[in-house]
Amino acid sequence: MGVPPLPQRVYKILLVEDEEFLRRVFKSRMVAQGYDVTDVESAESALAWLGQSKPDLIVLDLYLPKMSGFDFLRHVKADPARHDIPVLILSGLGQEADIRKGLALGAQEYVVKTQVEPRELMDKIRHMLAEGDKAT
Amino acid sequence: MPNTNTPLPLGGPGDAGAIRVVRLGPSESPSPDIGERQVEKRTLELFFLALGMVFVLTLSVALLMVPVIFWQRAPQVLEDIWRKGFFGFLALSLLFDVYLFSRRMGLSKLRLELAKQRSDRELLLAAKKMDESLLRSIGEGVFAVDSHGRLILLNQRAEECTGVSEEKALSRPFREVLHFDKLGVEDFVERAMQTQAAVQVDGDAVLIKSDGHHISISVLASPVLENEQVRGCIVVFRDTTEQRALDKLKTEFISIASHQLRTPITGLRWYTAALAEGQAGALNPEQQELLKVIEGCVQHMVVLVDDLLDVARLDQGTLKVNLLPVSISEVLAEAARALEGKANKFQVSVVIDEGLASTPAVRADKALLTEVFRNLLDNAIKYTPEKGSVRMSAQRAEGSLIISVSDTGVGVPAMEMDRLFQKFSRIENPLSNRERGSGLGLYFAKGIIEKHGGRIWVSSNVGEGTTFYVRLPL
Repeated sequence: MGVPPLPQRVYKILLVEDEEFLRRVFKSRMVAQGYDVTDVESAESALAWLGQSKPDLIVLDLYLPKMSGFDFLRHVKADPARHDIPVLILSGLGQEADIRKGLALGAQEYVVKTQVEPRELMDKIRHMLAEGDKAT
Repeated sequence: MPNTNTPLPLGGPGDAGAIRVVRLGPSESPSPDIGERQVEKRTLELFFLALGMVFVLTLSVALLMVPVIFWQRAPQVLEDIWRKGFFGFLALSLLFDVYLFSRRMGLSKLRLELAKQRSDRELLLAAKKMDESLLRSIGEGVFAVDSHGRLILLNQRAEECTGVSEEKALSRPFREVLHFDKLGVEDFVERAMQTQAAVQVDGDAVLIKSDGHHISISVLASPVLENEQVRGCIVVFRDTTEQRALDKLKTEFISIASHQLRTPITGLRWYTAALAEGQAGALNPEQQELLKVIEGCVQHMVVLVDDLLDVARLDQGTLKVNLLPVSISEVLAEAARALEGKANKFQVSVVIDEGLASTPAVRADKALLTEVFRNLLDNAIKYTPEKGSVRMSAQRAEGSLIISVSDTGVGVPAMEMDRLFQKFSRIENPLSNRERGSGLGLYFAKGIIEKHGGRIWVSSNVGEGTTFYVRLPL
């Protein structure tokens, strides 16, 4: 017959969220979309994981124990090997100052947790991954 | 710093009051030397005056006596004079008396003048003391410098704030004594004197105390002008450290509250969505119906929390309005995009007037303005029945832009119009399938528009529709 279809690329997503019940529901949604999701509960664990692996997207909560999401973002953006990973902030913090700060630190998207439907969030993630593909 | 001005004439270290600048100087106070000289001078003046008068009087009498002496009794009179020397003695004693009288008159007159001067001076001193006490008792820090920047006043509150005593600070360059931080705002004294206009720094200046502590201050520096010449600068400042700490605390509280409240709501929302999508198995119609109620409640909670947080920020004044040129058509498009789902759900068409693209940009905070129009559009959709429409348009009018959001909805009864923009006021919605609002959206919209220097108002006809107007300055 013809050429066998190329195996579809599996995108890797790093999910940083300290609330266990949110981590579970976000992850299951992303896995259902076919993504390879690594979930961690703190910025420190995320940095440790980033030392060995490079995801296609980071979904980041801001209000984390110890190191905040903002500080984590600073670390990632200062790392020449990691700074190009697109970051989507998914946070409960919704003040303009937080949004401006997040975007100024280099996040591509800022989504307030309650202001997004699960389906909308998945659309945003798909869009960001596609954009990331175009960029490379 | 301009050094061309003559320094303030007064306000040396020993005599510290800045009031002296205009009121009283040491050169004006009478010294004993001056007093004695003045007595002598005045005595002589009066003596010669009296002498002149006596001379004129004697001459007149003598002239009158000439005919008497020479025509009638000349021989006897002349004999009397020569014999007794009486006339000469009389004249001499008269002269002495006049001298004594003049001296006495001169002294008492001078004494009167001195006494008057003294009482004037006492009054001035009392007024000066009063002014100084007033300055010292002001609850705000006050310091003043002469045109060379030397300290001539440091009131009690300023002493407390800086940790420096007035005694040690006076007549020293104020930069040696008071230390400020934060580049760009610390030169308020120089700026006030150079521009000859008051300079205000709101809470951005930092004063470093003598013990090294930093305190945030608000400053008002005003030049001291005399005959259009800068004589110095007077600075009033307020310690805003506590106020700033409080503001920070409030902002942090809202941040934490917003995070803490949104986390469980997000959980509810995502898990109900998972259930509704059958991730835990297919649902029967009754279960689906119950889940819909839960979704409605969660959505209401989302709106409540968002609006409450917005209003809390608006009310406590921590909401910062970041004014930049903003395209209204972009704002309206974004608001419409955010509510696309809802408009589709209730079959309400949202139309943005084509002419909007050519309207000039307004200076506004895009995020906040988008939220305002999202609120207005959300309301319009909520109160408009199926197949209805909402139209958004704008027009220029006298240096401003008037944007309207017009619906074909149920309208607002006249008696409800007044409380429309009040906190927690909700208008009964005859459309039973629509979710409840928080009653805060329009209150927030009004607050935000007013922060932009604009105005919001409404016109409505029951059964025909409602139009909200927003006027923003161009």
